[in-house]
Order: sequence, then C-alpha cells, then structure tokens
Amino acid sequence: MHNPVRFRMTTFVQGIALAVFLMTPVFGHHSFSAEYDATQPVSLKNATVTKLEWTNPHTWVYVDFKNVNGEVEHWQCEGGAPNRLAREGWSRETLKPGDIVTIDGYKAKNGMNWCNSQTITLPDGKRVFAGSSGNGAPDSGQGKK
Amino acid sequence: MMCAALTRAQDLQDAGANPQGMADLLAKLKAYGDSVAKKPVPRLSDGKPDLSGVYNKVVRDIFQGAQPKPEYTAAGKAKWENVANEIDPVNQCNWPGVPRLMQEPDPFEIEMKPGKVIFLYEYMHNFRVVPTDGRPHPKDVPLSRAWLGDSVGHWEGDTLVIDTVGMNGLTRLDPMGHPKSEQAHIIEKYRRPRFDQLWYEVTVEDPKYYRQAFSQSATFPLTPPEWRLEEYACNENNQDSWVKGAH
Repeated sequence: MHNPVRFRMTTFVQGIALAVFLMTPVFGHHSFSAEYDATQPVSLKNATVTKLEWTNPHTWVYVDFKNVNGEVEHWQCEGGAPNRLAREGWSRETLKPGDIVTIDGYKAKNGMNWCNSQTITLPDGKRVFAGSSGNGAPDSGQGKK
Repeated sequence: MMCAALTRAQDLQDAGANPQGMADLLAKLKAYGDSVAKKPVPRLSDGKPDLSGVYNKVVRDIFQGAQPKPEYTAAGKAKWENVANEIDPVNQCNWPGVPRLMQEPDPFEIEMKPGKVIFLYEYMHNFRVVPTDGRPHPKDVPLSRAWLGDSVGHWEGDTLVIDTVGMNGLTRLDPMGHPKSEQAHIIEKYRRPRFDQLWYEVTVEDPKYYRQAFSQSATFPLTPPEWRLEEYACNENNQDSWVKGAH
C-alpha cells in the first residue's frame, strides 16, 4: 500500500538538497562557467549520434536532435578526456554513429548548439557520467567571491 | 554576481542523478582501500617508507582549509581580481607547474629509487625526477627548469620533504586561478600513514602575492593494482585555447 506521506517527505528532502546545491557558490573546474551556462540545462532526448571524437583534452559527441517542431538540430557536446571516461566505464565501443542517446548537460555561451554533457543515456538504457569534471569525490571549494 | 546561482554540475549529479559510472568508481576505490588498509607499509632497504604506488586525486582549491588563512599582498589581490581577463595557461596545454599538478584530478604515480624519487602525473603527462641525496638547489636554476622548477628532496624521519624554486610566473597555484609568481617557493611533505593512504602537505611561500606562507594538507587514496596511468595528449583537439578565467 502506498505511503503517500513518506513519499512526499522524501521528495521534499531531495528538493531541499537540490535547492541548497543550487544556492551554493561553486567551482566548475577547467573553465566550465566561462564556456557553459549552468542556468541553461539541455536535455537532448533520443538524439542520433553522427560522430564521436575520442580525443584529448575533451571528447566530443555529435548528434542530430529532433526538436519539438520536428526540425533536426545539429549539436556537439563536450565530455571528459578519454583517460577519465575510461575509468568511468567508457570504451571506444560505447557509442557509435547511429546510436540513439539522451544527452543531459548545459548549453554553451557561444550561441551555437554546443553543450557540456554531464550524463549520457546509452542505447541500452545505462546512464554514464560524461562530464569534464575530475574523477573522484566532488571538489569542495568556496565561491570565488 | 552570478556565482551564487551557479552550481557545479557535479553537485547536481551527486544530489540526485547518481550516474552509474561515477558512483561505481568511488565505490571501487573505497572498497579497495578498506581491503588493504591493514597491510604493513613497505620499507625500502635503507629503512625509509616506500611511497611507491598509483594514487588518485581530485580537483582541489588550495585555499580551502589552508592555515594560516592566506592573505594577499596588494599585487596578489590585483592579480586574483584579474583572473577573469587572463587565459588559463592549461587551456593552451601549458603545464600546470608545482603545486597545481597536485591540485588537479587524475592519478599520479610515485616510484622510489636509491637517491631519487620519480613522480609521474597523468594530468598533462608530466613527470618530475627529484634527487633525495640531500643536495641543495643550484645557485642559478637553469632556464630549462621553468615550468616545474628545480626540486630537491630530503627525509625528515618518515617524511619526504620536497623543496621547489625557480619556476616562471606563468602558472597558477590551482584550478581556481589563485596567483603564483616567479618568487614562489613550494615545500611539499609526503607520508604514508597507512598502506592505502598517501598524506600530503603543501606549503606556499610567495612574498610577491601573499603576506605569509600557508599550508594545506590532504590524503590521497591508493588505487587498485589494475589502475595504470593513461595518456593525456592535451594538444590533440584543444578547443579551449582562447578561454579566459578559471571557472
């Protein structure tokens, strides 16, 4: 039987946790906030991979994304370097052109269809962290100002 | 300023998304550490602790937890406030220097040999070979030691002390952009208090930018035997070379 009170409390607590994080001044690392806008999240659902650049210092995933109007948009999304992604479970075979993926991330400030990808949901439904942040525990810096 | 509204994507991940890859990685590191924590720390033939191993590190702000609280000189404050107008040298694939190498993510390896310690850093594919025979710095540090400087080491009991001078003023102390000048004198201390832990303390002495020296310590976890240093060929497809600021 449902426990609606407990469900609401859990959601409430998660909401508070998220709100706290959103209000905490942070460090993006490696010029995240110089290039990407954390107030403009993007979610490219069911996009088709057209190219994968498995390169340093960032990998790039190129996708065709059909927007709400049915128009195809061409996007490229930055991910972590191969050394970091490899430790997070990626291989050269993880993504191939033609794969259908969902990319969640943040839009670039350059006005183009570029994003900094945080997670990618793979064709088999598995979600992998794709971000450029360092691996390991989150850094815990104070805000710059 | 927009800072308060910005949130590091990583924090959002940890708050709710818990992506599979990152969670698995952290769990593996911790499980491995716990499984070997009780093994005795190996010793070299001269009795010194063997620090050899591959350890993991993460992005770290050198001001965080630093003692005494870092205080800028007027020049240091001006340099810090101008960070947003300067291109971060690592965005052009230039080396991070010391101590920034230790404030960046990606594993590093220590190999000990008689009379020297070899540090290998995955980040920027850097290395240092540091003599530990007690020699002093040369009177004139050669210009060929400009990015990582001249490092010499000696032992104080079970603590390895590494002293570095002679770096150019073209690097920063950490990924956050805290300034560093050509006068920087960096003292690092390394200990291995437990089989799976490398204790590290960095002291920054830079009278051009800071009123007094300050120190920060951290512990880095030993990685499982299957970890090895990977490539980091920054120049390959660098699209950030124009980017100013630090974060």
